[in-house]
Amino acid sequence: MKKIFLLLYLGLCSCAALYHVQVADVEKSDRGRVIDVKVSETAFDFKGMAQTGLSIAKQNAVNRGSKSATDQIAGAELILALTNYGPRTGLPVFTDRYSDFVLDELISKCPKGKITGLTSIREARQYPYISGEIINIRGYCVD
Amino acid sequence: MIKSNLLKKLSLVFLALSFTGCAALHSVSMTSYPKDRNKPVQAKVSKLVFLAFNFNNDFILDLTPRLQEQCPSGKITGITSKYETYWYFLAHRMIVTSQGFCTN
Repeated sequence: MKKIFLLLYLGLCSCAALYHVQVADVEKSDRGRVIDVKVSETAFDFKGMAQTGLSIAKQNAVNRGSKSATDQIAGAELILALTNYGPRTGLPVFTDRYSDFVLDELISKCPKGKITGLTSIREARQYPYISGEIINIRGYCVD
Repeated sequence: MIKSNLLKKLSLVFLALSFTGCAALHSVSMTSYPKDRNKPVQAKVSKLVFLAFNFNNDFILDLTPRLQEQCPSGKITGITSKYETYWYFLAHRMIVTSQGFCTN
């Protein structure tokens, strides 16, 4: 039974989430060569970690008759909730500067040509407690 | 008793089916509209995902080539892109639609 759960757990790893898609104008005549740019940042699910810790601590507290560990983790969970409220796309990252490199990467792949037909995809690869927050761009370089 | 159980099961199936098809709109984007709007082009790509078993979003990359097929020698502009999700029982479909105009 444990093996089945382990297989299911591993199978559910690396699920892909899609948040936003944008397609830009496509130039006429020669569409050029395809260029792909992908930038990403690792994000951690601290809320999920705190919830797991809280449930484990609760179980331990029930077993030992102690409430202090549960209270501490509940407090940490509250602080996290109060510092991370508001609308968001995907899991929060420490810095969103990774998005600033998209243009540099595009230019480096097509230094002298015109970049057209851009498809911008904001997505994520989700693992247990960790995710890769990704910006994926596909375009055409017309030299 | 048997009839009652069957009725319950049928009710559950009916409820499950009646709750299907809920839609969620995630993003809409537009590019500048052309003066010449005589030749509209449209492309749609979608992916059916069972539960949460989605391992990549590569289906979107077919969208621009599909638009290009409809406008092989012109410029495609005035593109409205929409990403939406339709939720069914135990599954959902991700749909990305792009509409634009083929101009010369």
